[in-house]
Amino acid sequence: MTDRDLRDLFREAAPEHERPDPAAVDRAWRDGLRRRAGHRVVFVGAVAATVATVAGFVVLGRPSSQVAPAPTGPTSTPSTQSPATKDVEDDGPDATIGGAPVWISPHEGEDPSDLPLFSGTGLPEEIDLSADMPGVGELSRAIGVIGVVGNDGELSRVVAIGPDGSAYSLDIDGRVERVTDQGGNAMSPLSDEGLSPDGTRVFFRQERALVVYDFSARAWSEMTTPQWTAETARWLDGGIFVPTEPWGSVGTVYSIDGARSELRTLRTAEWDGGEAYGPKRSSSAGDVAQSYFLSTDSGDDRFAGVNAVVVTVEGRPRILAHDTYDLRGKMCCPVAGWLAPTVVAFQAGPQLLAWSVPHEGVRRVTELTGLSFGEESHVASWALPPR
Amino acid sequence: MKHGGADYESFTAWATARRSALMRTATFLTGDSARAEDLVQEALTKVAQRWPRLRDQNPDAYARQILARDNISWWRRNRHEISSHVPEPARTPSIEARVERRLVLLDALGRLTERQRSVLVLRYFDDLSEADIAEALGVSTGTVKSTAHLALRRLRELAPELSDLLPLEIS
Repeated sequence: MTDRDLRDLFREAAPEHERPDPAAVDRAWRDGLRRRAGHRVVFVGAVAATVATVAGFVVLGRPSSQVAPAPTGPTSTPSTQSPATKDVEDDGPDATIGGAPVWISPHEGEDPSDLPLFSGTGLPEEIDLSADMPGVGELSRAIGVIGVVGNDGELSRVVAIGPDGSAYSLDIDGRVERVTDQGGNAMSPLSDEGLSPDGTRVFFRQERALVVYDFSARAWSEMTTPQWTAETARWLDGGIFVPTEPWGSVGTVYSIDGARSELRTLRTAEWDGGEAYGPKRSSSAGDVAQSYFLSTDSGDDRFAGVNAVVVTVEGRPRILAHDTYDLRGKMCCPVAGWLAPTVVAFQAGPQLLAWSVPHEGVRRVTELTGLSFGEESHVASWALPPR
Repeated sequence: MKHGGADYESFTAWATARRSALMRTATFLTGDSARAEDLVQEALTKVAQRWPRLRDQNPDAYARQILARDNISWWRRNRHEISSHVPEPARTPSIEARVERRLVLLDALGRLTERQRSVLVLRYFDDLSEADIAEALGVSTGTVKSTAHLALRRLRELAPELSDLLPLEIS
């Protein structure tokens, strides 16, 4: 028997509900309008309260942004301001989950591109993935690698971001093929764990193999892996960890030359209030950041299944929950790394945002543009320099 | 009464067309037709609230996301056994065996966890891909795969009569 038989049985077993109910539809519309209006009142109030704070930031930021140097890359102008960390008002947490403080940002209706800029990172305000750009050539290390994926799952182009924020094209033609996961679903060969922590190598997932590009050696290599299980491969101690079972925590670390080294067990997530995903990144101070889907057990229904960044400081979690529909997609917002000892960067759709932990607000760092809307998506892997 | 012009018209057209399908999914998810009504009403209200932005995107996906997540949230807040109130299919001698299979399926579904049931319903009734199920539930595709695997195994244990229908691996 096949999937189709089970589908047929579900359809046979489905209860009949053909009775239209125009009153229910009308009531939904009226209640929806009422909630929208109520939300708008709250949101306008929040904007008014925020304007003074943002204006203060702009005044502080202007002098140094006026001395920005000439563009170093083909896509835009990196800003040179020093990372500012204390110019957003401390309003205290918005809620708590199991005693852990929760701040909410972005809020529903808040456009991340309207957030104040966190500058001084070397990254440009915008990275145009469709712009003409030079090949990786002499680039020996990248701080980010971004793959553009079409709806067919094909990785159409790969852009490497150099330490100065410039963008370079990595030619994958003939090296990286379309790949599917165990369920036959198209899967990006590049994952958010693809770039090595030192930025010198990037791996691409292939069927029964990992293909690695070494920026410093300007060379490709390939290592054979068991089928499927490399889906959740990640860098570990200079090699690449491949779990024995898909999504398992036990696996083998392969050295770069493809030789197996040793069996390892990954550490569990730092916090048990949800499902951890994406890279786990530590700051110079030892604080650990990772993204989570918050548990439906949190006790606060507002946060059930919401994406969040959780920073664990000496075992104590501090949570930044994203309260927008646009950021409710699966794995929308993996952690990218640390921009300063207390500033963690995370992806939020096409935006790279910075959260000044614990409560000094969220700002935008850079935005990925040049994607064909509805036809292309991106996967980014970051190796931000240690801070 | 003025409702909002073109937005009201387009929302009404969408909701009228989709409400029955959402009711079927919600009834599968909850095992309770009255709670399914509440779940669908809340989903329609949340879609209406965001209609100007959802209209040109994918309101179906958002509505299913609300159904699945609100159902799990509700269950977490109200941990108790729920008796199934899904209407029993009418029996005739010629379809006795098929009716029996449907009842066995409904009974077995009701004994899965909320997440396991959600994954199977979205997969086999709503025909969603693993990626779409992951988005609806707010989990990773890895979680969808492992949950589906466990759910099918559990279904096989609960309803050996259906074992010839249950794939060994989700595909």
